[in-house]
Amino acid sequence: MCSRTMRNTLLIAISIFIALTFTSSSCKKKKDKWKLPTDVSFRIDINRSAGSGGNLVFTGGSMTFASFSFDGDREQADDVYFTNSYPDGLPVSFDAGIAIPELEFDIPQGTFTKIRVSFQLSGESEEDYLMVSGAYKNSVSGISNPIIIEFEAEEVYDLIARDASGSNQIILDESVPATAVIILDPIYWFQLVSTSALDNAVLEDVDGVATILITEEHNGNIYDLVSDRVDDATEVIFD
Amino acid sequence: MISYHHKESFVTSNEDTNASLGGKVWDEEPGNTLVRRDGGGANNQQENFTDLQSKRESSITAKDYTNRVLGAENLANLQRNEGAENAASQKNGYNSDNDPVYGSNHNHSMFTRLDQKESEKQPVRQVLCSLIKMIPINPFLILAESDGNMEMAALTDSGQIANNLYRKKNRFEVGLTYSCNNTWFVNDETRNSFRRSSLVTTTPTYAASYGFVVNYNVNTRNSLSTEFYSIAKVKQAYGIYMEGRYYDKQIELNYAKVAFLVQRNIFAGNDNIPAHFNETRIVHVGGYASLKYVFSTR
Repeated sequence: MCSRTMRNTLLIAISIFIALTFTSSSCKKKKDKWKLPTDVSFRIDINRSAGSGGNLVFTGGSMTFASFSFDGDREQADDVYFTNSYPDGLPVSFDAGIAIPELEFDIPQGTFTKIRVSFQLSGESEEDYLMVSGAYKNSVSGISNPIIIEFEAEEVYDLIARDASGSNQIILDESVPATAVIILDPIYWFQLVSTSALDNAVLEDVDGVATILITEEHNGNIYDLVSDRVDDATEVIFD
Repeated sequence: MISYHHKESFVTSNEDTNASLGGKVWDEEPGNTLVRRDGGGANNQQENFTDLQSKRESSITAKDYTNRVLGAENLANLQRNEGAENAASQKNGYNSDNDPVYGSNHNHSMFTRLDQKESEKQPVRQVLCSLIKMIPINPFLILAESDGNMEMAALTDSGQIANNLYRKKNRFEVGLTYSCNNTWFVNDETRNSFRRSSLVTTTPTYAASYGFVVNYNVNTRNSLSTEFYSIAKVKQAYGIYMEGRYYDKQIELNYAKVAFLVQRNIFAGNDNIPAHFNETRIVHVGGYASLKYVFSTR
């Protein structure tokens, strides 16, 4: 009788221990739900639509990051913030189809009411911080020439992310990888530049090709108009 | 009525222990009380036990009973009849109940044949007595066959045997020890992981330690123990976010540990616990203090 009682007591104790273990494990999984990472990939692109009456179009370019910051306000749990610095500069090309390993992050899942993305341009002394290239067709002669804009300012971009519908609320799910595209809009930069200014721009020989080169030293009048708007109209869109 | 009590303490050596296991015998004390005593061995036990059985069936009990129930006059008549029956039974070897008569209280032989010569009877009796002596009595078989008979079950008393064996044989114990522990570093990072909203996750980690142990058993319930772990480890695994990346981080501490423990067997001496359970399943309960010397961390 005593042996049976003892055995039953042991069985009950073991059952309770196993139940507590599984309950604890289950609770831990629920508790850690908002700590699970979501793969988020940032890519860089530009507005490739035509401007200036259809004569101006941009097709590529690159820029060099000195730093990249992410600051997200999360509903369910702690906010997410991190800053990555690139002392040697992080060159990136404007192509939404190219993944940038240095800009692929793990961000805890949840509902973000606001995501702020910041980055600063930098580069080595002899290199350009930001370069955008395209083509301009002279509205008078009809000749199309390459156009290149080069900026050497350590510009800082501070952007508010939104989803495809325009909402600032972004939901990240750990089972669904997300892609965020940073889009620069050179067409917007050139909105204040008149067609005649572009038609009369000085052509420079770049690698044997007559090119509209816009820098501080070349075509300064256009540069001054554009440089004030370089950090405007840039967007971060989560798919 | 048969009663039982233990008269002597247990023996000190293995050989003596084995002998006394077989030497637990029943003996008779005045008043028809059966007392177990430590005999010289299995043969002695068998002999005494056989004597006892025969005595229980003897006329002593009958006399007491009839004296109380029948009265003196009727008893006298009965004794006369018994005398006649005894004389007849001595002749044919059977008593009034038609059972064979044998045992040390009876001087007549057992199973004697009418055609036997007197010189042939003695060897036959000796052979039979020898055969009876050779029959072993296994207390555990008696327990099984007794079907809950507590008087017979008391013969086995394996719990007492185990306790005495434990006390005498295992005063000092030396051996190897191995432990596999679920270990935790309770630092700020770990405490932070307990917050539901934090970005730190802890995962269960297990670390093994090796060493040797020396036990000194003060008695069957209490013991002092020293454990030296030459290789001891504590691990803690985290899931953390750092610079936008989710990392698995693990801290491992390697060290040597000396632990001094006081152990108490909570089941020892408890009559409610089966002896075999007490003997084979010992739960050590208590805290311990340890001195740690850190060899390396990584």
